[in-house]
Amino acid sequence: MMSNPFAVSSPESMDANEMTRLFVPLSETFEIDSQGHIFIHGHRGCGKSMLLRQMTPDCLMLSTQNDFHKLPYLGIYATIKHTDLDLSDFERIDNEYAGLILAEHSLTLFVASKTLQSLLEHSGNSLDNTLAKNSLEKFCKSFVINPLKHAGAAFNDNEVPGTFVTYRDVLKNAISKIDLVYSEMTSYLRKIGIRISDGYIPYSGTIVGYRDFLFPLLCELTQLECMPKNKPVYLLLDDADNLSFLQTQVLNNWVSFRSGNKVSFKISTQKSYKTWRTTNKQLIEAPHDFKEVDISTIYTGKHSSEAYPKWVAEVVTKRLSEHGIDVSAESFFPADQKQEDAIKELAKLKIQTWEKEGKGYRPGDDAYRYSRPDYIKGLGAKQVRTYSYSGFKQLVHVSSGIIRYFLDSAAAMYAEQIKLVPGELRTESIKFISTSIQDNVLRENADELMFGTLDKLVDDARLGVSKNSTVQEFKQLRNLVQALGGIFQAILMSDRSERRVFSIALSDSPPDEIMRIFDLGVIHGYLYEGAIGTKDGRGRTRRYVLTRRLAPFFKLDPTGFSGYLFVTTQLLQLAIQNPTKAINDFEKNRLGSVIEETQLSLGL
Amino acid sequence: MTQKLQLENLVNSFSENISLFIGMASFEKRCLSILQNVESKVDYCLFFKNVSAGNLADKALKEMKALVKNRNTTVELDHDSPVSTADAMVKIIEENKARIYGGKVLIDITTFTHEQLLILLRVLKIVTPDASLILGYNGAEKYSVNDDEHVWLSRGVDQIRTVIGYPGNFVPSKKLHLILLVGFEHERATAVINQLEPIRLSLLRGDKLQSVSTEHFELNQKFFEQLRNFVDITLQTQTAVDSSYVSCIDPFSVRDSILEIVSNSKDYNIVVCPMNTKLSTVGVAMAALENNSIQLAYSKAIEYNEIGYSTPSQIARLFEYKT
Repeated sequence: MMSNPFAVSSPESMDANEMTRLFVPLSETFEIDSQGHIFIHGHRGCGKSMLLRQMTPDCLMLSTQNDFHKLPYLGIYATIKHTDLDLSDFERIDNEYAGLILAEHSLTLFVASKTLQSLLEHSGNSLDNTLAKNSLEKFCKSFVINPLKHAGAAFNDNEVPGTFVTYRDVLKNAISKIDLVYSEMTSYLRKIGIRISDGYIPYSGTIVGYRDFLFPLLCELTQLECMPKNKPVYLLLDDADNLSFLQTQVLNNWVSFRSGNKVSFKISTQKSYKTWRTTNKQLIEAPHDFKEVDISTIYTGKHSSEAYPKWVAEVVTKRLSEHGIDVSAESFFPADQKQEDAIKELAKLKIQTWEKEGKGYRPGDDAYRYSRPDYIKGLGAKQVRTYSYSGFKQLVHVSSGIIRYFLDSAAAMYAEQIKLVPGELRTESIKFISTSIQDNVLRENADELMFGTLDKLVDDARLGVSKNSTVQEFKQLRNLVQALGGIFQAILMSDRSERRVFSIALSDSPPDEIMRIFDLGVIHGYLYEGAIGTKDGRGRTRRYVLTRRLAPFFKLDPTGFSGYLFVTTQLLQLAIQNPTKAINDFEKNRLGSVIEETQLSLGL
Repeated sequence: MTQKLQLENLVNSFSENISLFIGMASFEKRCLSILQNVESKVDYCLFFKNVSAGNLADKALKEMKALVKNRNTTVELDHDSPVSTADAMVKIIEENKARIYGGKVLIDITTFTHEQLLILLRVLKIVTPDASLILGYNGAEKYSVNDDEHVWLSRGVDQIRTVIGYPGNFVPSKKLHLILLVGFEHERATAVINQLEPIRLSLLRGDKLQSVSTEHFELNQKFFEQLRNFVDITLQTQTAVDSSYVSCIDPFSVRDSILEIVSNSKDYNIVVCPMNTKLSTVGVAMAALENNSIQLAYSKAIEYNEIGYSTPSQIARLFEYKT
């Protein structure tokens, strides 16, 4: 049992029961479970691994109440860790033909081993019978052991009948044979990584590849009676960013084969996939070769106001319930009551005065839009620091559509709260997180994001780590974020009709150097990109949303926004050079115009 | 067995001349400590220096060269390219084989990066097997001397990579056991755990009685607690986490500790990431050279506290090392 209900467990180490208890489906399926290759992109912590793990047979059997052999596909889960395949020693042969051959060989064996391992770990008791054992024994002999021997592997496989008592013995034996062949390669790497001058050492071990070994193995697997017969195999490859450049090219070769009806690759990346080229330098492209989804953006789009909070609430209540805490997400993360009462009073006032002074279409519009910004504004420059970033709703909004951000903050809050419990820790005794702890954690996170992380990015660039970015560009990103946050704060404290602004739209076409800064902001999670209709309604333009994780830093209302700031290249140029001047000029000259959401046919 | 000596008495422990001294020019003044005290007995020096090292390392190299006049060769290493680092080391060690086998060799391990020290030890084993060397280490009097309040040695993590020459014997079917020797760099350690997501994690911290000093032990304790908090709160709670103490001053004891942990973890792929003293890093190398199944990993920092990283102590430790 986890001691902290919000601690994030690796789906790799969770069993099917726990997975099923904790997994909350995303609001969109993206048809990931349809045949065909798909790349699932998303920032770390947006739920990719859970999504893939949930497609393995044990989880699928529980969630669909289906028998193993009736499943619509055979999901094989394989997480790729940083030190699994991308070894420094490989660099020695990166530019040699041997490098390419061994990249394919290592990836082939890795996936083959994970396939059998996944059957061991993720098939429940479905294969625990004599029929399955016998058919798996024949299968392993024909499609694992014999092909390896034909490829040159020298190992003893003269097991007498009856050697294997269970299907687990059969699979473990086949896995050990793959491991043996894999070890030949690591022994070779040990010899070549550091070698005496001019000491060329050829590889003389077994070599296998996708077409001659892995593909037949996968295809034949679902021809067995004990498997989901004639159904496709889905290879669920988690964290493919951790492959080396050459291994990534090899995987792209496999994707380019378009074997989706038999073998489909479901590949997750953290947006750092190294290349889209195959080993022949051919580009694999969506939708021609594969489908592509970005799940970290689904909850920053049209679902940000309803589906995402609902999803997070389900995740929270499931986790609390696992720990014997049966309260709602809202009760567990209470809002500052005094503050909420004051905001409600303002809302009432808005409704009462709507007929005379109202700006929205309905009394509720004004109450919703203006009461919280009015409250923040009413605190004044000196007291605005007392605004409390607490309450489930605000926490959800601050997490900016990434569940990991929510859970990490919640875990930190829980750890602080439990320190206040005297005597022995009793998980069940924590019934809520105090508003001050919620507020402190969110503020600390925002400070770290603005100071620590951005400073590190500037340092990265200064030290030449971010090879494609100059120091100047990261400094400009820091300036841009400061300027946008400052301008949004100025708008919130102003008397403009629409003051809940968190995003900008481009009213013209900024030059490449400015667009590069926006790209950096998106890559590093400071901005989210989308498109909206232009002001004149004749086309579409880019929009950029500032991450709400920075709301406490800029003293902004995180609970939603209703307007876009249309900005010109002139303002952006000033913003990336001199954020203070940009904010001042914006206030003085009203550079840029705020357009209300309702005036545009928007996607948010 | 390590020998603890006052720096000023170091020279007396060498009855014959040192045929080859190997050291690393660094922003840390400690790179000079041992050489300054033995230079009268040194026949020839081999100095390494990272190409990307800043002015402080350049200045230190000048001082090192001045100490031994023209009796030296300098080899530049590329911190960003382990392959070229290994090649450069192989070439220069091959050229100095006669000196290594023919006389007394002293390697000052103090200011090598953990990774480059590990590579050097693998190179020495390959190019000059069965050689007998003396390894020397000058511990710090104090770390982070310019910032008492926010003690820091490095910032940011550029890259986490396996150490060339130590690929381990990974097999795809096994899960990962990470053994982390915790030093003073909490952020780098956190990044390693985050990146590798081990199923089993062993955190090894400095033993109070086997630390360079009581102050170092207390600092190590502080960083260990920060790391432990991080593991408890935010990481995979199903990761089996254990912690124990390890010597910061006796590489042989570290070797034995690591080998013992590994012998009890046969069902895992093993990665060891040494982040404590260089003495303990030598112990890790000895374990990995003895047991090929151990993979070593290195976390490269973005920035080092070059101005205030450390001040040298007056103590040196020497021990005999067989390749």
